[in-house]
Amino acid sequence: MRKPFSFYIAHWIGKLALFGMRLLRRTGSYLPGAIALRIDPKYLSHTGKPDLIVMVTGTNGKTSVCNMLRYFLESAGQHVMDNREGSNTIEGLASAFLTHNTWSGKSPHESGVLELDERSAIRIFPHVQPDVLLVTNLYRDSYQRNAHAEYIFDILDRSIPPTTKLVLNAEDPISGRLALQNERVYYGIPLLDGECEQRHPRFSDLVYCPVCHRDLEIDFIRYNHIGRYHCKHCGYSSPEAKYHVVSFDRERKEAQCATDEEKTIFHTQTDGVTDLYNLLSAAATASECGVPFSKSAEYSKTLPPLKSRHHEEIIHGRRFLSILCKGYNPVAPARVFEYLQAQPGRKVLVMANGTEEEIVENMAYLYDNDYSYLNDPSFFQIFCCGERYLDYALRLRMADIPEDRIVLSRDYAEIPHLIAYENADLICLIHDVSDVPWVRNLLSAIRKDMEQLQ
Amino acid sequence: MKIEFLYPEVASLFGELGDIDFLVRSFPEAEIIKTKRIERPRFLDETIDLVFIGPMTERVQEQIIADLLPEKDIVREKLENGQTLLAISNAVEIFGQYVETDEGERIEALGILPFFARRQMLDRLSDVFIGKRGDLDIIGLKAQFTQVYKTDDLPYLCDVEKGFGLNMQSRVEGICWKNFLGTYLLGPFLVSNPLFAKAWLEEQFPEETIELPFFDLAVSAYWKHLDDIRLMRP
Repeated sequence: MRKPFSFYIAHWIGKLALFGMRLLRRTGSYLPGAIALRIDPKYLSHTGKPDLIVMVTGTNGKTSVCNMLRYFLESAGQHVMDNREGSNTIEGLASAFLTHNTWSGKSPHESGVLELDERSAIRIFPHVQPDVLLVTNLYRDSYQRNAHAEYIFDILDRSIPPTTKLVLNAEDPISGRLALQNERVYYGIPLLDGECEQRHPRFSDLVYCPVCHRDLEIDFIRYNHIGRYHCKHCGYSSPEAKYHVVSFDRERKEAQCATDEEKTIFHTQTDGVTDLYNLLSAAATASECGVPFSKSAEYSKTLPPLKSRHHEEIIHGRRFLSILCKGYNPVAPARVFEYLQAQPGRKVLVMANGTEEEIVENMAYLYDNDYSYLNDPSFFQIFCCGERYLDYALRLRMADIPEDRIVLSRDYAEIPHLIAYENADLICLIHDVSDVPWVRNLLSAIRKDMEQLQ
Repeated sequence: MKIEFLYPEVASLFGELGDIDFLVRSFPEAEIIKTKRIERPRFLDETIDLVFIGPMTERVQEQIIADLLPEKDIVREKLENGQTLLAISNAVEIFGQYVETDEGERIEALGILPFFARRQMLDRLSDVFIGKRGDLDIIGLKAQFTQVYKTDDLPYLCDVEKGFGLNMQSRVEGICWKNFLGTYLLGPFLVSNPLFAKAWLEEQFPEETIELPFFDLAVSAYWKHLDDIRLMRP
């Protein structure tokens, strides 16, 4: 396709803007792309693309899965572009192409792994059609922007190009029914040995049959609406997974996974089922992109840990965990709470959601999240911090958590002085942003205090 | 005392589970009824003191309207006779004249109250909110696809101090008619507004002993939130 002159103007000015922002030590994740799109609204159509484009979207897990998928493809020798430094909206994607493409606008990469904001799909797919699209899951999320799961489903469903192959979660009956005419494969994790079902989740985004809207029969529910179902009225049933987990040894952090042809052992970074979903979905997608499943299993042994997302260290015999967890989300914190509840020992939990600068106005997600996991005597100190500390405390009390386990600390700097380190086996900080001074300061202050303990 | 939560499994999208917990705790002796979408609402056939319905997806809203249309005369009679009913966000629209979609299609609602709603699915409206009801400040968050237009006089919940009202031009929020209270405030509404919740519940149920859960803590959180919303840019 012959590129219009406006494309070259957009590309060069965008690249100069990117260069300028780097000189100013700014990430340039949004603005250069916004400038390019202002000059050439079809910039994404005109710019060069890798031979293979894989996109990852969904409510939770996008960034982790993109990191894993990129590692698998690169380990297999592919030259991969991504948008890890940019945002996942149309402007962020444009910035990513500005970053990676040559001055003439050509792509030097064989493949691209691009994280996609689910609401932006409608603006991006007319210009960039992914060969493979992984949808991790769909839940209610950021209520002000994303409304509800059905709204996001409709946006994706009507904008996914017909030529795109889908990789979908067999245990998500919402995203699992996207673009039914498209070619697709599913991945899934059956109920694992020793795993507790959550038959009565605090909320579920799918209660009735997605086909006939009558009562669904539950085969199992892992959490929220994630599970397997069938409908005795219309015959609907959860799809069979091509890629699935056979068993999961949580102690050794090893999962035996299988396809129709092979069984292989994957190494996981944590013993949580959420991370196992991320790993399996990345390996399934890599397999659909030509990287053998067994090769991804081999690469999983050397997968670099995402320290900013889940970091664990032992300091003088005590575990210190730092977990990045979306704040404006009614599912992710509850998954972390469930994981922490299952950990042994006496625990301190610091909930450092919300920034000092930004006064969070939306408390609705607090009441959708399941805080009952924290109503466990093993959590002997639960810190409510930041500007919304009183709202967090009220939510904990509504979950029947005794007052004497709740510590109020509006000021983040105070927290390290209030932690009863001597009585704790595990200290966990959950935060919804990582690359900000107050989180770094809090992490280093807690670590320092723990190092000084005998 | 009987409280019926209508369709809580599908009509509690934005934290209204908090309101449900709040009401259950406020009336510990009450009989709690949670009616599923595939069931017939109990308030149609028996005396229920308080009916609560929260926000739902647009598809579910249309299904619920279709289910309730054959019963609209009963619903109208109940409301005219003073049924206490709290509707949050787009649940309010069920009781209006119609909902107009993006495509200009009219979805006939129960036709009880003189207003209609206009839905714009690509234009999600969201803002923080402060309203004045007498001396009381009412706070919350609004996030919605619809705007409401009255077709006749209708009492309202509060005057808008910050944010937008029933529609982007309106300076009033909510609909109060007899004992029907409808509002687009999320938050969750009752938990976020303990002073209003106390006053409203005491007005509705003067015979009942009402002990709002963790009232002092809820009030402290409310004052802090009110101060913070005042500081926020719209």
